[in-house]
Amino acid sequence: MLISDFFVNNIYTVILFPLWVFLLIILGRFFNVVQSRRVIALMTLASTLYGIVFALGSFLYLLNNPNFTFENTYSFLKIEDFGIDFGVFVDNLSAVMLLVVTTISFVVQLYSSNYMFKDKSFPRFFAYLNLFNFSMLGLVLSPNLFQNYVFWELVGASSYLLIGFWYKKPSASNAAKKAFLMNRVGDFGLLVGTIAVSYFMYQYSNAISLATVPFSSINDIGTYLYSYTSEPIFVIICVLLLFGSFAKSAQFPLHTWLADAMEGPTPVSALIHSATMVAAGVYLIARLYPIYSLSSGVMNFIGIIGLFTALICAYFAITQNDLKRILAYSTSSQLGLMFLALGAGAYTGGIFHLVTHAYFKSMLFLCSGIVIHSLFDQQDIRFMGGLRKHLPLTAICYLIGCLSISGLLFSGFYSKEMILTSLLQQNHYLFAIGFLIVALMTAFYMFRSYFVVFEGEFKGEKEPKKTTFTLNFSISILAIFTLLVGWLTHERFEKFIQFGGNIAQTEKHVSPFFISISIALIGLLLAWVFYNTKVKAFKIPVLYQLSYNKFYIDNFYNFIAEKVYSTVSRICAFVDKYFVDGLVILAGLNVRALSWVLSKMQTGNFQSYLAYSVVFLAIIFTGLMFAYTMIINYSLLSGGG
Amino acid sequence: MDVINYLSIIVLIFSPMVAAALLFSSFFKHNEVRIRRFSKGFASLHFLYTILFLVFFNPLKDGISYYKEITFFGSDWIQPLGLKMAFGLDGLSLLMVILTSFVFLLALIASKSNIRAKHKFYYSMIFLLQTAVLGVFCARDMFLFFMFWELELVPMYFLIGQWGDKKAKASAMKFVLYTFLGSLFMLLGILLLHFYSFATYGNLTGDFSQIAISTPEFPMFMQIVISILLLVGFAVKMPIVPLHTWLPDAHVDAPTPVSMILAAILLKMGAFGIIRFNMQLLPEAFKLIAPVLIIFALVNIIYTALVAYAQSDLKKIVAYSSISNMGIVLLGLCTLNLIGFSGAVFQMIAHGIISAGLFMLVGIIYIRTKTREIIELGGLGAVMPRLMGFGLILSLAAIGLPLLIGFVGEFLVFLGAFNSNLENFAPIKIYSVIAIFILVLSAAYMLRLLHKTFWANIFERWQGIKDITNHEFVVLFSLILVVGFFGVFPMAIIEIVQPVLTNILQFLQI
Repeated sequence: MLISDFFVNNIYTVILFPLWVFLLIILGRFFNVVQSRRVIALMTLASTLYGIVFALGSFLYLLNNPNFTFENTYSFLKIEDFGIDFGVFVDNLSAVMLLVVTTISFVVQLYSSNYMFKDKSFPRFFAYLNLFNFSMLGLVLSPNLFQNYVFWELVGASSYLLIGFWYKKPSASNAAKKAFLMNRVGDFGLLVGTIAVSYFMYQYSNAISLATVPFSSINDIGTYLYSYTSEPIFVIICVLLLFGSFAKSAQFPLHTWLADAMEGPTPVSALIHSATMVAAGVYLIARLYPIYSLSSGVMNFIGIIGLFTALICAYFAITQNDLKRILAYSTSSQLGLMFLALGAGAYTGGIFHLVTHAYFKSMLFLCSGIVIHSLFDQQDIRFMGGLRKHLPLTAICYLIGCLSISGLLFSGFYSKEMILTSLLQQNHYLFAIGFLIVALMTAFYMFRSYFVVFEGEFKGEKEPKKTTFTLNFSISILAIFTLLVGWLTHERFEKFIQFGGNIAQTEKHVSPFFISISIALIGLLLAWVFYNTKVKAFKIPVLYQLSYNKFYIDNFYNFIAEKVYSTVSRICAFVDKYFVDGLVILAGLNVRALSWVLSKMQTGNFQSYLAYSVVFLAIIFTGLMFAYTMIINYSLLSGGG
Repeated sequence: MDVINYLSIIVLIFSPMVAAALLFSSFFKHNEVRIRRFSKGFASLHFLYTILFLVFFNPLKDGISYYKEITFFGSDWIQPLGLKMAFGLDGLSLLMVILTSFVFLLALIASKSNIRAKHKFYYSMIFLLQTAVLGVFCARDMFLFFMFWELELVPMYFLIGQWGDKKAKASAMKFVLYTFLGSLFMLLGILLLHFYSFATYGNLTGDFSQIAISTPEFPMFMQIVISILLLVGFAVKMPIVPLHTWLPDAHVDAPTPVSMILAAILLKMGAFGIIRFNMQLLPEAFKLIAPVLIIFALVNIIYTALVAYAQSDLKKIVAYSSISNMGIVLLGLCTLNLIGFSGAVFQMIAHGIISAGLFMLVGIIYIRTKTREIIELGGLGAVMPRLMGFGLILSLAAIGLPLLIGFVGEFLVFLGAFNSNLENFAPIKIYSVIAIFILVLSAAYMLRLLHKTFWANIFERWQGIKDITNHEFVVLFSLILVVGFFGVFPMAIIEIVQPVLTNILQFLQI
């Protein structure tokens, strides 16, 4: 045995290390002990590196031991026989997620240690990063649905803190609030769903340990749940659980927060809002796949929502002018593709796309960060252009990212091809067509951004700044990942991550890659024609407005939040003040006479107040007791009860 | 040698009263610093003393620990009526006693910057209040319970009225009259309980453990009447909508430390009373009332959360959030299973800690800016980063972020409600789903408070504000420690109360 099970057995330390560093930074700052930025960054990097080592160790161990799972829990809450356990659970899926999360975390932390160095709140930023790491690792290693919920909320909270990192900016404040509230709507669904599943397990099944909904026996839970519930109830529970995923992964109808979340620092976007946290929704669907896959209606629902989100967000991305927002909508769209894949039964493809997407999308974000940094916080692509000469490495990396996300080359090609193959294998032709349309739009908007930012003439005012070694180094690491991950792992991955449920797997391997590649090439060409040649891009009247204003969904939600909700609450407050309290005051008018007497007694001398009240109470009590004693005595005389 | 024998519950309850008398006497000069130091020192000692009670408490032991009875020249308190002046602790009272002692200590520390006049009177009133509250939690006799319940009004009236804001006198009067009217119903209920217990069994007693009233011989109608009468009294204190309107006024006009005590301790007395009387003494009636109460609980939770969102006064937001949280407690009590019940008790503690912190937070802002209007504030995080940090943790705890204290209570209540067997009376599953929506609503009003005070742009006139002082730091930091500790180790609380709750529930299970 080459790799011992040491790493798997001690995997819980991976969760606790970032928490410890978080507490060190926060308390150190509070008590003015740990102040050095270098020390803070090193501690953070050390904790993440530690995580990488353990993730790699566990991953290799699992490679050598197929079908191995590890679970280690302690009791968090125990009431009679209902217990909720916290702990760790390692199987193939969580090992892969662990590896993705720790590597990307490490690169982003390295990047931030340079990118954020001049920021006044550098320690706070790193504290939040550690908090996020803690929550995300806890989420990935959750042994049951309850712990999953706990860390689900915690990643939401750390994302909220990081979006609102620059809290002095009103836009950041609003974006953070919006993200939190939208995620809360999702959490509501997830919590209700969790409680409902747990209820059916607790009340009906014989095994009491199922009440905590452990992932290790999720297959049994699925079949039990399906047999205990009627079809509508089952679907409702699934949809509620899915709501959590929709909110976290920014799927329609809860997708609007992600674009606003770009108010946070760029490393945060690269880490949380592209690669790790937003992928948690996909991860949860993969975890609960044995439940969802029992109902074809639920599966189609996942697929349709995913496809719809992928389409509309790709459509929105075409007309955006903010570089980060383009990437944000692209993230939503790509996550939609993962939902589509999972919904259509392309389990392995969906997860594989999650992994590859995580690397190239966070690289794209980090590249955009370099661009924004060197242009003195300019995010509008209309004021960029020709940056390839100033930032050659960034341009290359961005190009790699674009080629990958369009499915033309590198890791994105492998994952997208895997999804498309599965779709065709299982005869989901409608989904496949939708998938190709998204691919076309993806290639178009990604290369649009590439051509506008890196090619042509520079349209800004100030000369761009030079970038630093650390930033370049970070994106290079991710570029290497993007280049290699798909190529090296796609065959092994199919064996490593598999869903053994009731979805038919055919051996025949059709290769539709020429279709997808030619469609993506059309997108590339269109972008090239419109944005890198003399041909001017034109705006199609209604379609442009719809895309630019994102179907007015944001406006609609704002209307709900600002007008409808506050009106309802004002009405309630009015009722409370003038009706509920009004009745009391009306009753109080009769007491006016009494209060007049009382006001005569208000001499301002507190001794006399005290005396009054003591006498007052004494009289009342004596009177009551006296009367009552008489009643009792009377009944004693008359013979008792 | 058994240490338990040296711990006297009489000392625990009455020592604050002695301290009050000391402070009030001419022995103490009108020296602010000395009075304050004495009070804080005394409260710390008292807190340590209560901790001793916890250390030597055995939750698995049946019945009451530290039982003690005061006799007067060899006879009971009111011998002819069979009333005893008896005190004792079970797990639930012990928790409340510790919470009381802790919050009073913090309130006394917080008093430094909030109380500017009449120190002697103020501190003696606080200690008198402490005795009254401890008496309520420890009394083993109905009438004793009621006596302390009423005694609490006296110091409270002065504490709100004398050191409060402009309309404080009116608010104090409203508070006292409201509660007093409520307790009249309650007194009637207690008298009926006492009388019927006597009439049915022929033994004159007010002892909680001896009144066994839920038997077939006792007319059900009478049980329900008594139960409702008692509930009115507790509903005012708790408060349950529509009897809640005293609370926002009293909170807004009370000085900060008093608001902390009011929210953290006094509201819990209402819930405690429901457990002691309605659930323990009249379980059969409570089973019938619970489905109706659940609807009240829902209104409490959702309606007040909506009202809280529309408030412009910071203190009012926190006050309405208190009502909403007490709705969760009520929902937990009505689930009639151990999960929901434990959740309710946990939520009582959690809300005690969090609301004390939130009122402290608002108080700190008010001292510096002299305003609590939400539109006049904003961007304070730029000048008060530490306070903002505390505010963040407290608000996140208030909206039930996991691993902080606010989560477990809420979560268990929802879980209990969903698992409740009340099905035959009420569509409880639907109700609990509606109640869970508080996740979103509470986040809405809490984040509004947080963002409008600390985030975004700062007004020019708040530019010179100083961050928190050491006193304020100590108070907030102690609260945060508790918030974090019990968020991660909730069993520390639940294990203490579980035996008591199981005991109470065995007559309540459907």
